Amino acid sequence: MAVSRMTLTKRQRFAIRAAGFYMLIVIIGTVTILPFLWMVSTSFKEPTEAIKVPPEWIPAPFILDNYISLFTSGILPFPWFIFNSVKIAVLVVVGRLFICALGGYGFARLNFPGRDAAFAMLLASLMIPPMVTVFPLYFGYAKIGWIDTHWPLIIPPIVANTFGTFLMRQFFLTIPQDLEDAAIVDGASHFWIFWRVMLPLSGPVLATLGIFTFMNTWNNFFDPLIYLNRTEKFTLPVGLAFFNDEFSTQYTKLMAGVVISLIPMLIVYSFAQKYFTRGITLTGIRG
Amino acid sequence: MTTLAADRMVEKRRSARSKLLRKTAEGWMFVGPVVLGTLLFNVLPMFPTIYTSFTYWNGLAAPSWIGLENYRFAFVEDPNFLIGLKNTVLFTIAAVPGAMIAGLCLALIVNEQLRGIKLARAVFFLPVVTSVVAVGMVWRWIFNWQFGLLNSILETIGIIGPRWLSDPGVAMFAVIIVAIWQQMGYNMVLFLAGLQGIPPSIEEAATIDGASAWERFFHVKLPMLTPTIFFVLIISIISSFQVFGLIYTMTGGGPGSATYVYVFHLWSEGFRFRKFGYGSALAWMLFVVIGIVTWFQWWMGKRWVFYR
Repeated sequence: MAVSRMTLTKRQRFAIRAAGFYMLIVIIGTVTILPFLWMVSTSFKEPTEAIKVPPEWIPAPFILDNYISLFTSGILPFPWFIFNSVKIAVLVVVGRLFICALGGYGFARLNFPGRDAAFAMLLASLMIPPMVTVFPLYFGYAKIGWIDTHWPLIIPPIVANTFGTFLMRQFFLTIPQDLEDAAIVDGASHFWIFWRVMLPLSGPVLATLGIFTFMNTWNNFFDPLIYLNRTEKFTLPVGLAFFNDEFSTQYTKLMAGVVISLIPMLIVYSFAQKYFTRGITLTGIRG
Repeated sequence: MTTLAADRMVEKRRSARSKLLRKTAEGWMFVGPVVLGTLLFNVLPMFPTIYTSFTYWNGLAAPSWIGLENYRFAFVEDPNFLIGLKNTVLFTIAAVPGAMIAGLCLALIVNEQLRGIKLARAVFFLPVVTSVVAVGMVWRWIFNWQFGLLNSILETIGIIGPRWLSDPGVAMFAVIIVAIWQQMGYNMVLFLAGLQGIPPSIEEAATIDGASAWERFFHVKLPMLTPTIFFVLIISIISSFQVFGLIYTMTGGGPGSATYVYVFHLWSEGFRFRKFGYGSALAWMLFVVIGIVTWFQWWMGKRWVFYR
């Protein structure tokens, strides 16, 4: 049936256009998700089934052995990988939120000599690629016995985060000055204002910063790679890469390991997706 | 002046000074940790690296001065230096525009007011939050030329797929695809913000003037997006010059040296072979190149970025 352009109602045109978009979204969405689905599917298969051609999507038989073997393996301290990642992530998130909020408030609301110079220094430090500091840092850490411990992965990320400070400063700048002035008139110290007024107001910003910090810390690969030696100290990314190197053909177990490593991140993501979007749009910070 | 007035003046000066001291102490109590931390861990270590780039240093003994030897070695004797450089440039030239175009297309799609569009955005963004190791491992399995998903699918429709990560000619292409897959969601978010910053009145005016959808895109949306494009371009190039984790897990630099990128070389020479001096030189050359490229983009940006 031929439908000339003039007889299509506006509503019909809109429906066709929408259908087209939906089709595009489904196709691209499927391609985007396919690797994840395949990964999950492989993780529940037996090794012989994983390499079958044509590919089977539903594992038959459906086994949990791959996952169990990760926790009972004598060679690979997988539970340690998880524990280390969790420990470091939690410490860094809590520490960084506090330190960046402190700094952000100081830069936003306090006036003291050296403030602008210090802020300029922070800005400039953004341009320094990590490679160019890594050798003296490694050497310094070795001197104080930090190599093969978690300290280089905890302390520096907490105290040396510029983006977080910017984010907090931006936010504090938007809070009306009168709130503070009223408190000062009542004799409050700046720390009291920070603790009792500013922090409670900064829920969403803290959530945004916290989520990005969690993601970056959880996914961080380069730093644990160079600073850690013993496998029990490894975080998940390094542990998985090690697993990948040593047992590169045990695909079903490898996929199980990857699934486990993604679960915390996916949980955080499903609850806090809008914070990611907001955080990127505000500052462009990335992973 | 009477002693009373003089006393009062001294009193005022003293209290002003102690007030200033208190303000300084207070202020620095707040910003001290970040400033000191940044100085100590981000800024200061940069400077010794300049010096050590002119030394032979194995990280244990003290560095010993060897002048420009590291730099000469890189250009004249170390084939992997130029290979690393070449592969990084290749990767950047393909992955950055690829991820940007993909991100822009996605942004245009999810900018529509459709039901469930937020779910679409969430799905497209998902690869961004996954770790580079996870991505590398999964895709390495998918690209497996014997048993992987990709070649299996191709086989069922009668095509013999290439050897992907085992084929030096194709491996880099595979890595680039994965990089685009992972980055496009991130670019999508930035471009979406840019699109939503375009006042609808401008588009409406164009429609009233009879502009077609294509014309509206090329002559209205695109010019208004140039600041976003500019920003995304700069950060994308800076980060793609430093690609490492994906290469490490997907290919280990191979096959041969097909995917051997600059930072992989830096890590290998610096931390595997413990050549801290040489690594310092490699790091500074990277810094300088990134700096020059970024400056060049800034300079060019004045020509083509359109600000309202």
